Amino acid sequence: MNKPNSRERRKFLKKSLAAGVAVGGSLLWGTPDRLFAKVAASETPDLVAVKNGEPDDMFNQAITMMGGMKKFVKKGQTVLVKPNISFPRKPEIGATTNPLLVKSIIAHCFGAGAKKVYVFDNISLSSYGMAHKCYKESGIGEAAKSAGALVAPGDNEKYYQKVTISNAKTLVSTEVHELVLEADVFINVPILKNHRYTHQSIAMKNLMGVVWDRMKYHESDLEQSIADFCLFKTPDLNIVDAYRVMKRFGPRGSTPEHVALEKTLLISKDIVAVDAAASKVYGMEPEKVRYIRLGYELNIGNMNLNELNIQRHVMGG
Amino acid sequence: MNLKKIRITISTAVFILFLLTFLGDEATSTALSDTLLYFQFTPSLLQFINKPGHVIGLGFLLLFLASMIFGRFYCSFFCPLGILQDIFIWIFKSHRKKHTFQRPYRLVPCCLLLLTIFIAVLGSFSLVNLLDPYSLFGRIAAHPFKTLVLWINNMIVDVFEQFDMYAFMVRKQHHIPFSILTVSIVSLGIVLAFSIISGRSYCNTICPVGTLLGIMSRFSLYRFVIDKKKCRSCRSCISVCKAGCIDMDKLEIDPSRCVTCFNCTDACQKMALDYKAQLPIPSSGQWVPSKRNFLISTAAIGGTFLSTAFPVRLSSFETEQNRQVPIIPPGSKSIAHFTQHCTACHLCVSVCTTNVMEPAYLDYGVSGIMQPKLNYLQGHCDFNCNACGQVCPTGAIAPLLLPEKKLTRIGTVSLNKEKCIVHVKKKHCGACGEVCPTHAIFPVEKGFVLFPEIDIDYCIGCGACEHACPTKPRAITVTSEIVHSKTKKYFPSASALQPAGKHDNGFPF
Repeated sequence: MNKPNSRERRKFLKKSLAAGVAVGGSLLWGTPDRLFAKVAASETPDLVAVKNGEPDDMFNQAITMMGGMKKFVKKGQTVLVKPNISFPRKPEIGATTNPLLVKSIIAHCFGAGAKKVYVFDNISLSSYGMAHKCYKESGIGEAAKSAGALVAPGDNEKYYQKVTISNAKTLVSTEVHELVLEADVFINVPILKNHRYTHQSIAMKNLMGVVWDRMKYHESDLEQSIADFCLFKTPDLNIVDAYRVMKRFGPRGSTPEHVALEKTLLISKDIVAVDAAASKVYGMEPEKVRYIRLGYELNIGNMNLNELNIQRHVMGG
Repeated sequence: MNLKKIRITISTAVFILFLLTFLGDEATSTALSDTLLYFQFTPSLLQFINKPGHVIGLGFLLLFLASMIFGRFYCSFFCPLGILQDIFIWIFKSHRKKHTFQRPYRLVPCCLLLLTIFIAVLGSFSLVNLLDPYSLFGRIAAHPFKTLVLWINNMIVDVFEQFDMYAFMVRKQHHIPFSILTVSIVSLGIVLAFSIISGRSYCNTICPVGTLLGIMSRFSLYRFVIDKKKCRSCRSCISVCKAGCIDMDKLEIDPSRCVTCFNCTDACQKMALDYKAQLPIPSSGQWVPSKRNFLISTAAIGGTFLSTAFPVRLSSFETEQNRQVPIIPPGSKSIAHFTQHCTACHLCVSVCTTNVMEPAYLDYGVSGIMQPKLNYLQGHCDFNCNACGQVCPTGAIAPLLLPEKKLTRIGTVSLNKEKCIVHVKKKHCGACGEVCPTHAIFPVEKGFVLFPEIDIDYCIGCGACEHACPTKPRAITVTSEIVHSKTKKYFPSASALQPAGKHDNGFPF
């Protein structure tokens, strides 16, 4: 199988295209010197980390450092923004993605010319009626709607299509939400939080919310299945919300007392790299999180942060 | 003032509100149920008996007094099953013969009423559950009607979704056991057949509430009378009398069967029919059967009141240890309390947002036929929801405030380690621990594997773990608490949130 080659080629194409858009975009924006200095001169960073700002401000900064949303979303494309809405908890608990961040991402997508932006999540506890409560309680449903996104349901099997993952070890086949298959751009917006049975829930774990039968993961081998899914599809962009980081009693969470205000945002196209960085923000070495290690071993991405081009920015400093 | 039109207006409004209560969403149901169900005969009677001296019993007292004044107005104005029959009668108006006088037929209704009360006093709610008109309507609305409505709703949602419109939600019907669906549809069929063939004769033959109110309305202040001087015997009143209670030969109206629908006063051209206060109790000609009925009614009402004093129970779950005891919702206190209060109207089933409530058929024995239970294969009891207690009209599920509900134990969890994936495969699963809202399930690390452990003190029995468990059959299961108890509240130890080590650049990498 010559997958690495084709991936390399695609990467090259994307990079050259991105550079072109960055140059063009920067000319349009009228601030070419700034962009040339940071981005176009070097290549697109593998990972951007921003801290000490509000979720939306940090995203504005981070996406600019990545070269702008236009690098990822082209005019007329449909975008799927997939936050973590898995529990009916308020944002303060840190169990669900920050609604302000989701709203800001959607605004940027439309700003880049997206035709439609969809938001959905298949929640953790699949009892009927809970999905609606999660959308509402997390504040994401309303935030997404106010930004003009289509808040799509994920709580019915009819939206899911069966796929097979050829080189998977445990997750040989699964049912994936049709929006993941149909959207042109797939943006993963997880929250960094404690997960008492896999150590942390970040970007790779967040993809459990695009399949119908999550219990298949639990039943076979949770971490292997999480890594296996990335063989089927990885998001075009991973934006990790580490503004409020739940440190105990995850993934459901307890009270705001167990939440650390890290005020950090991470962006990367590499899902393994962004998980590794987020794991460090949490305070754990990524090697200890088995699915990150498995993802690295499966060549899904790079968990060795010192091999990556990381752009850092501390807001207000 | 046309009393018939007022009756139609009020009853239509009541019926629409009933449909909204049973078919609407949680917010609609909880908002409507309080006021609407306050004046339902059987539920308010149960509240009156079970909570003596409580405000909640006032609904029944008002209903009782109003019936003593106005007769069987409940049957035409407030009874959802009665209004449903009126609708059927109206729909099939042109396809049926005109109403005629029906001979009084008292043996069956009186026997049914006595039997219902007798076995209820002995502790079996089987006939109350089967025959109470409100509950019977509830089951028709919650099962066949709701299935139909949701089917239409989901079709509309499907169409809208084709155009990327997600304003409406797909709604999923709760699980209806075949037996319950059969009972609901058969009872709907019986009511429909009665109403098409002979008007309100279901109410005057089978319905125990109708019979009881009929006995009371013999002594009511306001009754219909025919002015013998004005009446021209045109029989137009008979042809509109759904209860068939106008006797043209004697020019008398049988008050025990009259449902005060005001059709006759509306139909009479000569103003010979009047609804007015009549102090003297009917003449001696009618006195004999009514005296008998008076005795029956005294016995019936007396018996009902005595039912609290004689807690003779036919079935007792406390003695049956080996039986699979159904799990009952928070607020229902104990199996004994629940089975002695629930009339199986299934409003709680209909309002339950996670569809965990489902009607059981004979899980509580014949005496508790069709009373609902929690089925954790269908869903789990949401930690932040207390809707069932909010809507329950009989007090079977007492309304609990959320903080209290969150500490009410309705079952206890147990983990079968021989089936548990983590114990068998030594691989992480955490499906149960992920969803546990009370910290009753927590991880313990042994050799780099996180095993789920249980602390029973914090378990409320909500069933989230059982619902989530991926093994078949479930490795983690909840067994019913026969008497609900209070759990300990979990206070986590002070958490030391250690900041991650940072480099000079402000980031840990």
